[in-house]
Amino acid sequence: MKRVFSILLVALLLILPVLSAQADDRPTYVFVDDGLLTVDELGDLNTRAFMIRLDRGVGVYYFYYSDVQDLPSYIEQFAAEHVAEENALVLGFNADYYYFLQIGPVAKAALPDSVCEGTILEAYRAVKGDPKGKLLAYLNTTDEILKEYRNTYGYASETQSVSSDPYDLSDVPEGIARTDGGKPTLVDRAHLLTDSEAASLSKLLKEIGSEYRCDVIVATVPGLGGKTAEAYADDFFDYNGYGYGAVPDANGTTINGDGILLLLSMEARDFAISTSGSAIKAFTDYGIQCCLEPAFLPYLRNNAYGEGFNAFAYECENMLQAARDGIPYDSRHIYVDTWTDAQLLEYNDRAAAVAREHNIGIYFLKSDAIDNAETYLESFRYDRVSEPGSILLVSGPNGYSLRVFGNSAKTKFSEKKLAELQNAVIPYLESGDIDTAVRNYLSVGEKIASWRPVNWFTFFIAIVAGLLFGFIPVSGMKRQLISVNKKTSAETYMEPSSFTVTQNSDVLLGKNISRSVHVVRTESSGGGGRGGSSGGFHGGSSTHSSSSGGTHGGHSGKF
Amino acid sequence: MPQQLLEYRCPACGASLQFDSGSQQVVCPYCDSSFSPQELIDYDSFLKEDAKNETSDSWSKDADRWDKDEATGLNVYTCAACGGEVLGDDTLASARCPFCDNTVIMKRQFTGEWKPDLVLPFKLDRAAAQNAFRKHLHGKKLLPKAFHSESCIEEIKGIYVPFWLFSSDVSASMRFSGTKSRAWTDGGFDYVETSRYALLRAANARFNRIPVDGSLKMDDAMMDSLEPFDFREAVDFQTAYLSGFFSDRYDVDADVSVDRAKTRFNQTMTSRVSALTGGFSSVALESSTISEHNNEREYALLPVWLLHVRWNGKLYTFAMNGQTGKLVGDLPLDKGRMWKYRLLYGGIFAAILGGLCLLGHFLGCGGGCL
Repeated sequence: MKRVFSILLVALLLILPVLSAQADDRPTYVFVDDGLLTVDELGDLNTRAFMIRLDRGVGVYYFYYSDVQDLPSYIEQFAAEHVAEENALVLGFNADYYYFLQIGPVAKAALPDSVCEGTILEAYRAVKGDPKGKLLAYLNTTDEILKEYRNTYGYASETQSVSSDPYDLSDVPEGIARTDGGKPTLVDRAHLLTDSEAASLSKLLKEIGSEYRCDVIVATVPGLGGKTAEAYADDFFDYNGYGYGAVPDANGTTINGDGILLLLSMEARDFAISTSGSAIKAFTDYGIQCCLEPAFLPYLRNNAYGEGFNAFAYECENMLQAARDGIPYDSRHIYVDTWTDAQLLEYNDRAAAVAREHNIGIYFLKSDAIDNAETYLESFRYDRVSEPGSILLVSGPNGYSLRVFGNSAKTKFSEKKLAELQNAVIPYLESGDIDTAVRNYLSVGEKIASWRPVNWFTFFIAIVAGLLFGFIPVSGMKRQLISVNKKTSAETYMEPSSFTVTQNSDVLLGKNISRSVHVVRTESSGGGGRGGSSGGFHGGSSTHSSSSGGTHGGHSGKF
Repeated sequence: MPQQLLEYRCPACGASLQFDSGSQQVVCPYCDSSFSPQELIDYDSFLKEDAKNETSDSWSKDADRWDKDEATGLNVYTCAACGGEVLGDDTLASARCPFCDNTVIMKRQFTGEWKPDLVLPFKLDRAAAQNAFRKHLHGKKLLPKAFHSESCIEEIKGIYVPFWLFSSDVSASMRFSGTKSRAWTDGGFDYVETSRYALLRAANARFNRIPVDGSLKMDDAMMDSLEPFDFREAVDFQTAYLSGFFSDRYDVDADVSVDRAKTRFNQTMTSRVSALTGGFSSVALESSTISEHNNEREYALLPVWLLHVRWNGKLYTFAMNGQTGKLVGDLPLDKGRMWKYRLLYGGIFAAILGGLCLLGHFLGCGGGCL
C-alpha cells in the first residue's frame, strides 16, 4: 500500500509541472466514475474539451456516475456546480439513462435535442468498448456541429451593431490609437476584441506606422454589403483617408498614400489585405502570401483574433524592416534596387528555374540601402533563403560579399569554381556594369550548379550488379558439364495419333456476384518544383486600381 | 547343373568370332570370314547335331567350390579355349576371357525367364565411342584443362544392358475445379461475377516401349539419359549378336521396374490432360485416376558402350548409346576456372553497367536512370 502511494506521488510530481504550466485555471469537463479512465486519458479529454471551449466558446461537459438516481434533477445540480460558460452542453449518464442539457442561447440554437439525440449520440454509440474513444467521438462531433453552426450563422447574430455608413469612423472609441494622420488604426465593427485588446493592438499598429512611415490598419466588419473583400478594403482605405503622408481631398479621400490594411468580414469569413503607395513595394505578392498570411491566418481560423492581429502587426513590422534594410520579402533571387520589375523578371525566372532543378538558390542582391554587405548577407540567408544549398552575392555601396551555404552547394562551388565565378562577375560589378555582372553571375552560377557529383552509390550498385550478372553465363557453362538426368516424362514414347480426348465437359457449380462502389481514379496533379518556395511567384507586387482611382496591391481570401 | 556356355567359332579357321557393329555381321578377326547371325545359328545347330556325343559344355561353373560362399555372388568359369578361370557375378551373361580374349557366352543366362525378347544390335564400335568421348569433352569451358591431356580411358566395354520395355494403353480421367470471372461497371458500381465449374477431362493414349533399365549395376539416371533408342531396328534375340560384347541379365524384376515407367506416363498424361483446361481464370486439380490396359512388357538387350576414365585418382563413368552415339556422363568442374570466368564476365558486365551509369550522369540524368 505504501509503495502504491509512493508511485502515485512520483507520478503526481512528474505531471505537476505540466499541469501548472498550462492548466492553472482550466476547468474540468469530463467526470467519470473512478477507474473508468486513466489520469492521462482524462487529461487528454479535458484538453480537447478546453480547445472546443476556446474555439467555439461553448463548454462541452460529460459525466458518467453510475449511482446517480434522478438523472434530470442531478444534471441541473451538476450544471450549477461545474459549468462556468455562458453556453454549454452537458451529457450525463447513470447506469441506465442518458440526459442532454443545453445551456445558453448558442448551445440551445446550435445543439437542439434532435441533433443531440441524433448525430451526437450516434457518433458516441458507434465507438464500442473504448471509453476514451467514445468520449472523443462525443467531443469531436459536438465540435463539428458548433463549427458548422458558427460558419453558417456567425457570432454576429448575437451582437449586431452595423454602422450605417462604413466610412464614418466617428463611432470608433476614444481608447483606440490614431495614425500620424489622425485616423484610428483599428476599426473593430465585428466586435472581435475586448476593449483592452483593442487598445493595446491599436497602439502597436500606430507605433509601427510611425516608425516605418506606413499606416498599418486593421478593420473588422460584420458584412461586406455586396462588395468584394478586395474592393471593400481598397475603398475603406481610400475613402477613410488612410495612407501615411497622403493629404485627403475635400471629401476626406486619399490616393496612393503609404499603408497596409487588413480587413476581416465575419459574414462569410472573408479577409483582404490592401496595400498602397510604397507599401506595395514592401509587401510583394510573395511576401503577403508566403510570409504575412501564414503568420496570422492560423490564429484567425481558430478565432484567436487578438493573437492573429498582433501576429499581423509584428509580421508587417518585419517586412517593413526588410524593405528598409534593402530588399523586401520576395521570392526573388535577383534584386537590383535600380531596376524595374520587368527588368528583374527574366533573371529571376532563370534563377527560380535553377533552384527548382538543382535545389540551389543563386542570389544576387544589390541595394544602396545595404550598409554592411557581410552582416546583411548573414541575416538574409538566415531569414529568407529557403533552398538547402545557396550562393549569395550581396553588394552595397560599401562593398560586396560572396558566400556559399549548404553542403550541396559547397560540393559544387569549390574554391576553384568560386574563383571562376568571381572573375566573371566582380570586375563588372566594380566598374558599375551591373547588367553584365548579373548576366555572367547567373550563367556561370547555373553552369556550376548544374554540375552533379557522380552518384557513387548507384555506381557501386551497378558494379556489384554487373559482377553478379557474370554468374549467369557461367551457370550455363556449369550446366554443360552435367549430362546425366533422370527422365520423368514419357512424351517421346506416346504414339502421336493415339492421344484421344474422351471427355471434356464443364459443369457449372455456381455463381456469385460481388458489388463494390466504382471508384473513379483521378490523376494526382504532378508535384511542382522541389525548391517549392517560389512556385507561382515571379517577384514584385501585382496591383489593381480602386474605385477612387488609387493603385493598390494585396491579396484576399477566406479564413 | 552344367552351364550352357556358347562360344562361336569360325567355321573356316576355328578362331573366336565377333559381332561387327559396322556390317551387322559376325566376323572372324583372323581369316576375315563373315557370316550373318542367322547363318551362324544354322551352322551352330548343324554342329550340335554333328557332335552329339561330344561334351559340349566347354565352360562349367565350379559349383562345388563356390556354392558355400555365395554371399559374394561370384561364379567361376573355366575358359574352354585356354583353361583360364573367369570370374563372373550372377548376372554376367557374356564376357571375354581375360587370358585369351575369347568371347564366352553363358547360355544359362538366356534361357527360360531370362530369354530376351529383343536385342538392339550395336551399330557403333569402340573407335566411335572413343571419338564420342573426345567430342564430349570438346567445348566444355569449365572442364579442367588437364582432363583433356591427363585423363586416361581405363576401359571401354561394349555391354548389352538388360532393359524392360513397357507398352500400355493409358486412360487418364481427371477432375479440376475452375473459376471464370467477368467484371463490368454499371450504375456507379463495379460488379465481379465469379462462376465455379467442375471440369471433367479424360483421355486415352498409347505408350510404346518405355525403356527401364533392369540392371542394378547400371545407374538409372545415366541409362535414362541415353534415350532415345530406335526400337524399329530391334531384332529377335540371337546369342550371335553378343559375340565380342559383354552382357548382363536383368536383376531388377519387371514388377519393380514398371513403377518407373508408370511414373513417366502418369506425368505425361497429367500434363497433357491439364493442358485441356484453357479458358479459365484459375484451375486446380481435384482428383486424378490413371489406369493402364493392354499392358505388354518385353525384355530387351540394348547396346551401351561404357567408358571408365581415370583422372586425378578418381574414376569417371561415361556411357554411349551404342545405336545413336549419344554419349553422357558428368564431367568434373574446375572451380578455379569457374571463378575466373565469373570474374571475367562479371567484370565485363560491371564495366558496361558502370559505364552506362557514368554516361547517364554526364548526359544529365545523374545516374538516376539506372
